[in-house]
Amino acid sequence: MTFMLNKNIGMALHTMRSSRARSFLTMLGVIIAVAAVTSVVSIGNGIKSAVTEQTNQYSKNVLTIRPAQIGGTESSLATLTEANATASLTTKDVNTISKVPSVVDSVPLTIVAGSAQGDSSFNGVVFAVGGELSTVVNQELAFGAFFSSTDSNNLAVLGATAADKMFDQRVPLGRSFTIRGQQFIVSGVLDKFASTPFTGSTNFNNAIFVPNAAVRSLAPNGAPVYEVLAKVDSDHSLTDADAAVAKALAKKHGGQHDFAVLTPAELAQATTSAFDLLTQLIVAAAIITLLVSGVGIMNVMLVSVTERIHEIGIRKAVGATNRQILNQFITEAAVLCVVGSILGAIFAFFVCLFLRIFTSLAPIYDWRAAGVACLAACGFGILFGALPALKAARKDPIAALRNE
Amino acid sequence: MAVIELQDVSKLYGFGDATTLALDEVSLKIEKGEFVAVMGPSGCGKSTLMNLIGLLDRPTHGTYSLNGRRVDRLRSNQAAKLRRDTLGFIFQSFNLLPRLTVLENVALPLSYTGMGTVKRQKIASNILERVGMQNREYFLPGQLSGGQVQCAAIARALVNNPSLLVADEPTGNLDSNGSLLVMELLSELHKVGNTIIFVTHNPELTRYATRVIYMHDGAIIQDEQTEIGKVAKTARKQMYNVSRSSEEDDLAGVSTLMKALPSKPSVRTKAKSRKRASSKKPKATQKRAKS
Repeated sequence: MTFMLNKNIGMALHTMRSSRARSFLTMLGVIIAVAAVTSVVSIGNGIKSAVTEQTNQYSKNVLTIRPAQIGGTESSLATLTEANATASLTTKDVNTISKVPSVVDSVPLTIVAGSAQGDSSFNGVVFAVGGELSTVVNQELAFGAFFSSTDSNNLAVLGATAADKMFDQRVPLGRSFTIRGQQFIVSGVLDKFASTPFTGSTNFNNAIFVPNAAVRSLAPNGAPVYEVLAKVDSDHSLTDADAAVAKALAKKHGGQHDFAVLTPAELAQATTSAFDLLTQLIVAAAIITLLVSGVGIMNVMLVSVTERIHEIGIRKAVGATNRQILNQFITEAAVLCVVGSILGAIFAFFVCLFLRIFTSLAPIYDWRAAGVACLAACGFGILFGALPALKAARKDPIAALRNE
Repeated sequence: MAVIELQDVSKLYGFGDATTLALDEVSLKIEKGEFVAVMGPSGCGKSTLMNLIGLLDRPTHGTYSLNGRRVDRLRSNQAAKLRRDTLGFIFQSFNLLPRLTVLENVALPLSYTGMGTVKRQKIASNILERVGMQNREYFLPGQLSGGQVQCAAIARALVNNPSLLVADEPTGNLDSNGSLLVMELLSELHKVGNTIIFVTHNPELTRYATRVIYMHDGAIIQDEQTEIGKVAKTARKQMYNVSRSSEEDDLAGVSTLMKALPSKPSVRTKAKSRKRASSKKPKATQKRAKS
């Protein structure tokens, strides 16, 4: 049996070599499908890993309180817009949160609409925050210092990307820019946050931080609180603190849970679950590609059987049974798929490498996904190769021998 | 026990009006060690007979026993296994796989028995040595002469040590040198005890045979024992005019069914018209006598 398999594989490779172009075009579908599945899953893994890393870096021991039930596992990408739409958190809530015993420090993030005009114009997010932000999110400043509540209202701290885009010089400390006609002076630039695209959390690298007191002049009608970050004492567990904050807030909101208290894990989960969904969708599309490539293989195998009818006749004449002919052609289809899958997996590896080097995405190559994709490709190959193989096996030896 | 025993074997192709009778109630017995030549004009059913004997085809009617075992109603897989283990088939057009070397081609039947590569190639190499082709083992069929390719095909037919070698015009595509090479080889194989049945158009090749069978219109019309080294007595004669059907034959069997077909201008019709003419003749002479 093993010997027959070896022989069939040898024959299949021989056939592939003798018609290289056709074999490659047949395999192309499998290569693309396996590469697509593997790359997408790898990119997803990379993003999930980055989100976890990001969470661990600056939101460790930090609870995120957002308006309404929007930050949960069900929704994630639309957090900002929904937050603005509902805006159920106020500055009073910030006081309530800070009074919870396990909370060491808390800082509200209020969104102020408007673009900034430095050396060049910049459309980022403008947050009005307290001076505690740096300690709460555990992020050092690259240059300068964070403003405190006692400082002047016209100081601002820039995210790393914002600083790059707004000013030509590398260290823009002391430079001024305007938001809604009001002038601000750069007092510090934050270190670059481990940021990931498409995440539920706002990218702080693109943000401009102004003091809370500046809200009054920038937005006289008041601005919505996007979220409140609360740092929990390391002696207390996050879950207990989560419950305590939720209880305290609900009491103030008349028993209404129109807010969400999220632990770092939940915050990360919101992002990762969205990515899982996206990955599943793309994988489903790739499976359809695999199916289509299976049809391609069936087509080529049918042509191959028609071309080799005489050979089938000779093999049958010297004693090959129907099953042995069937196995030979199924093996050929499977070999096409296996070789195609391996090439696809290798191609995906290089795609991941390329993305890792040249983009901010940092895919983590998923061997398991590559393996599953290869197995699926082989399964489809055998499935679709069975029909032509059956056609070959059922050939009448006399009729086949007459076919030159 | 006879190696081959055919009893009233018929083979029909097609349906309805398009039915063709390729073999018409052929009965044949071949004993072990015989070297049988089958002769006859094109379309007389020689190849059909070879295909039936070689288990590549099944008879429509009649029985076929190979080494005492009924094989006329075998399933395709059982027939394939018998072809592999008991029969060696040699074709007019050689039928070697062009992409495989001579050695691989010869070892091909063994590969379907599940034998390991080394063992089967060793056996194939021994057989090639027997047919004088050992120095051509790694050649592709396209690199050899016709005679050499046919020798390789004979080696392939022998590789399973078959009880019967069936050769359908083995020299049909060869020049005289190639024919000589192949026939000498078959003769050698016969001398060591192989049973061989071969089809030929060349009367000279009956020198190698111990028995010559003549066929016409799907039937065996003559069966002649011959001496090795001598051309069969009737081999050079025109055999087509020999009547192969008698009144008794017409009473039953497939021949009767086929008589109704318009596409069958047979010896039988001519015989009947002759008979009719002869029966009228006396009446005419009687009339002349009366007048």
